[in-house]
Amino acid sequence: MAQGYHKDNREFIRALGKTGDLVTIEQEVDWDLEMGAIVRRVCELKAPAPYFKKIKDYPGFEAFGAPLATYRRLAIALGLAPDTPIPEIGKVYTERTSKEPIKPIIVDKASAPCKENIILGNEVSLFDLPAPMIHDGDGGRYISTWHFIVAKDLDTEFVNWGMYRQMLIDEKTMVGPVFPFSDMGKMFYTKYVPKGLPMPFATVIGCDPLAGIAACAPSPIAEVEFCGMLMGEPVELVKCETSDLYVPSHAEIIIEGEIIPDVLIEEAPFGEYTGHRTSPRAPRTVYRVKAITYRNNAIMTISNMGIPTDEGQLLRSFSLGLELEKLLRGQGIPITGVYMLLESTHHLMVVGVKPAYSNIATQIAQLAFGSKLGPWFHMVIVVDDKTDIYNKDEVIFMLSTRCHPARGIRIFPHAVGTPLYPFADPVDRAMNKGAKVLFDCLFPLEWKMADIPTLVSFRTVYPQEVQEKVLANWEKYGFKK
Amino acid sequence: MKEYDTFVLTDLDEVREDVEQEMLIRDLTPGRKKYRCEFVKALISKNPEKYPDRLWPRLGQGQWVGQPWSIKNVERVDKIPERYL
Repeated sequence: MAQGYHKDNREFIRALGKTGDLVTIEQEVDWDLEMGAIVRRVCELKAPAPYFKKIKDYPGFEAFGAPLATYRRLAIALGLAPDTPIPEIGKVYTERTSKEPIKPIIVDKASAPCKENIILGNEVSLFDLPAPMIHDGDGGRYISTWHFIVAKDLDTEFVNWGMYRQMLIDEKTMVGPVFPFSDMGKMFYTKYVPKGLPMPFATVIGCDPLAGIAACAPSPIAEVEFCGMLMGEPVELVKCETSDLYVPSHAEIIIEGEIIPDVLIEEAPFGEYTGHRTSPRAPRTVYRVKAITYRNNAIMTISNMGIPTDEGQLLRSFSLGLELEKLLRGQGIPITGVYMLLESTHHLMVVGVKPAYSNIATQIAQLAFGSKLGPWFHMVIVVDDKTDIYNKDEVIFMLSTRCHPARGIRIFPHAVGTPLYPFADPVDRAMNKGAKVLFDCLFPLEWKMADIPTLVSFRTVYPQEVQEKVLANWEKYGFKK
Repeated sequence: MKEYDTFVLTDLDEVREDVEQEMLIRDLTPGRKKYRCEFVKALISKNPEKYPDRLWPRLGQGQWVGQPWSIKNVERVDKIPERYL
């Protein structure tokens, strides 16, 4: 292989088993809350990913939970050592995704594992798949929590892979939110709906881990090509049974059908990545199913979103931060890096920058909030180039000591938001309204050198030779290394 | 007796009883089809004995109310346009 990756979900599961990042559960578990509760506890404890071999009511199916809920598992997905530091994982991601996009290749149906079982027409029943009831109180059984939906633009060749949750209604109907500012929302609500046309879709469940990362990545590059860049090889696609869409041939389960334009059905509530159930139960987009194809012994994938850490939080924090880093560097801003604190559920972005000119923090915030990625976060902290942005303690220290409570905090009202923000007013949730805030932790450039407070730390207020002497003698003094 | 639940999006005091109304209910019968959703025209009562089937109300964020109501399903309502069936 050109660079580290796993061709499918099954290779990835085997790799996790070898590094101790997987627990295989042989005893039967119930799809109705028990599987969800296990995955939730795994997320909260940062425990190994659970691989369920036996699911109540569903012989012949397996399930895999919390596939990328730790940086260890993310590193393994990229073919790196499990203990690779976060900045190093980010470097590999950026290197791979800064090369030329890699177009996919088409394979025969006969060689596509996802076509091992093909269910069409009246035989289709979503209840034949082990869709879990993830949290008690959810609006329904969420079949799609770690997956992506393939959809094609009506007027162009643009194909989108995006992760939009889907809840079961009946044998052939699913429902879920498709926000108007999302890629699929723009395609469906501005092109198909005005013409009264259904939009073909294919839901891909149990994809390889890099396809999942690509579907979450807020990159302008087509996700299938982005996935190829992460893999270093073309993605193998196979044609759908009921449309001209193409799906990864090694995926576990494919659900095909149409998103219909002239009806909405109640969806939610659902425990989301914000750690809350926030978005109101409301009429949402309807998916009508025409075909299901799946591998033998198909493995359902489950993400259980809630309080940190789940893969939604981890991957969006990771890729949003890195894509915003590309954006800011592309604009010539002298940043040292961008990091989204995991505990912030990708709401808080930390940027390190050389304070080259006045109000550079405002420029950073305007670029970040004004980008396509803006609706997904609402806080930016800008610190200087000497601060370790990956060190949460250091960032909190800078925020608490260098951000002026009036001058340093800048509010950006009337922004695009999502219904998932727990702090949002009910009307704002319904209308996708939000607001943003910048915490500028840079000292003003007009301050005289003598007015700038001096950081009092071991590495800043002692001469180099004293630091070296203390470090060299540390154990001799009686301290542990 | 069958058991269903439903999400109540208004204050519980505002729920209309003993009048035919359209609502989305979930079938709680154990098995593969548990939580199957269906639009129905139904009569409901906060008296758990009044109608033949049991209805468990939940609030808009999924909160469990605790006391069961009763329901009589009058007819099924299909929301999906015929051309997509």
